[in-house]
Amino acid sequence: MATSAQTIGGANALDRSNQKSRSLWADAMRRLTRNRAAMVGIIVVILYILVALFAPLLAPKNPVEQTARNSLRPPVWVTDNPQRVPNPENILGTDNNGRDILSRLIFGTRVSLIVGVVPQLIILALGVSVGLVSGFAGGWLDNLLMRITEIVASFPDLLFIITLTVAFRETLFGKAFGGLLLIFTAVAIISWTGMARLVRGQVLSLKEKEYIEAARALGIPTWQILFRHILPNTLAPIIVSVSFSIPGLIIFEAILTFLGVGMRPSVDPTNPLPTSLGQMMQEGFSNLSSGPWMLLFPVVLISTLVISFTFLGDGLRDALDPRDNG
Amino acid sequence: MTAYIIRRILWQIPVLLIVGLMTFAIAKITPGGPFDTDPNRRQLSPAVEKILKQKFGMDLPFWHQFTRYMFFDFVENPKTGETEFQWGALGGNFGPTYSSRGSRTVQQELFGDRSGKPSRFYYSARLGLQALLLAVVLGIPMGVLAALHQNTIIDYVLLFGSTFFASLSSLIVGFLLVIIFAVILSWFTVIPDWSDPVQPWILPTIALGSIPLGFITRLTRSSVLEVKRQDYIRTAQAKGLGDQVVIWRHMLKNALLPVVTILGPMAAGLLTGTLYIEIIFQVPGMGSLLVEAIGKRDYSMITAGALIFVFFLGVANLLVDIAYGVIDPRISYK
Repeated sequence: MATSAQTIGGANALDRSNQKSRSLWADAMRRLTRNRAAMVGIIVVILYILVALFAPLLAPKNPVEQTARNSLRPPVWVTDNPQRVPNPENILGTDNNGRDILSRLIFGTRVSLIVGVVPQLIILALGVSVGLVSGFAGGWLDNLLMRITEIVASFPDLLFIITLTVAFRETLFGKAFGGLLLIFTAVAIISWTGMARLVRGQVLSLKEKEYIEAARALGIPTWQILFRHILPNTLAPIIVSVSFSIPGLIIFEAILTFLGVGMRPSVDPTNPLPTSLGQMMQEGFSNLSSGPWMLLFPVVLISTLVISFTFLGDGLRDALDPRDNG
Repeated sequence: MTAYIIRRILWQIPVLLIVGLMTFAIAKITPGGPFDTDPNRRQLSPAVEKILKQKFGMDLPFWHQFTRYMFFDFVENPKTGETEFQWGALGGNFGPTYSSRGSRTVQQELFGDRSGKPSRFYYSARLGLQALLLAVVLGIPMGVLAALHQNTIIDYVLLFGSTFFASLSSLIVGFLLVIIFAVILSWFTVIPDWSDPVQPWILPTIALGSIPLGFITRLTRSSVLEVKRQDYIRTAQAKGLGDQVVIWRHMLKNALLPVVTILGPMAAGLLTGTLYIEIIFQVPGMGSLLVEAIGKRDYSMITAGALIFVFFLGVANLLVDIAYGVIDPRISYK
């Protein structure tokens, strides 16, 4: 075995002979740090997280503060229109209400990141439990759960989320956190099916493994087998799947808010989540001809964020699933 | 195969029923109705509201309303006073729209002629088909090209471009296209003229098709790379077959199988994509009408929209499955 590995390639063979002393995670980490696109992705994502965390310190102005006679100023480098002179105080210009775009962008990244992460908790809770139960129990319970999953998965997701958000928008629940709570729930309710199928598939293949049989022969209780022996082994594909679904959720918020059923506009200067990139896109789109920069900047920001997460997801997949490396 | 198809079609029925029931239930249990949308607008007098509610059957018990909407009911004709049989959604009758206060039905709004202009369905269907065509016709050759020139500059450019689009959303691509081509370059007007048969279609088709284009290119590339390594390709080359024959007959036929499987989910993306793409490019299609209906809480339209979407999705997935069985003789459906 060792000799055949060495004949394949020098460096690779050396790695393999040492591999026993390293854990799966250390190994994956090493593969991940070697992936240049994934590293760029991680750096950008960390940058965004820092910006979101320290938004009040970084933003030059209050994101909801409206200044009179300062609306629709272009970014400072756009000086070709004598009717619209940039204001040096607003580097990226102002919107139709005279609010500073740079400050709004800085605060807007907060919502995008939160929307990408918080619903994941609900998705994980629902998807993992359905997948675990379904895969491990088998029989009629598996059949029932999988039929439910199939039905939910065949909903047109966006239309269903929109219907939910419209229906509950005026309730107390729909108004919580500027409508964010409703978005989280609506998005999660429809998005857990992929996770459930993934976990079920993993459990189905894992429970045939010898070590599970050994655990069962030792008389270890079922819940312990599930949580101590099976779940940890499904972690790698779960992580990959989560990192791939983050960009989708960020986009969902933008789409919902663009269609007018997402986040509510806020004028409260103390609100920690005053605006989102989706909201800025919506405002920018309605002022398209008079201030295209209002749309351009949030679009650029959200594309960078989404692509960085995709690079990161690609990198994680390659790192955690070495079979694909060919 | 026939049994499989029948089973798949039968499976659509509970799916449609549950989707209908859920949207219907959401519409009923939530506060506010179609007649009190905007508190600033003139409110209906209680008498008129009562008549309207009667007309829409909103005073009936929930299950009766639901079965009337989904299946059929016997309704009293207000003019003749006779009881008549009336189909529900199952027979293609989605009922009157709330927002028109009953003067027009959902199917008239969606599929009907609008004083000489094509129906809303035509716009959405044409847009979706054009986008799909763009993705398939460009994506497959680009994927093959990238795979045949693996690790060259062509491959890198195509791979980067397709990854870029595959990870974005048509919302973002649509915005970018509008900013670049309509606002900055002014090649297209922001307000489209739909009497022109070509020009207003270009940007929305590209926006909607770019995401599946990215996916198809990436998938074709990796699938051709996989097939390229197979023994039967080496055999074909060893037999002395020309490059073109090997590529088109031996390689592509096998490489395209995974591509066919993603056409189903892709159709789903195209369908929901029309919701916002039609808003961005002001396409007078079904998607923009549905978004309008959502704003007005026109639940008969929203429920109909959900049902129609699910129906088309089911049809698309079924077609893909059948196509898969036809292309790949190794697959047998039981």
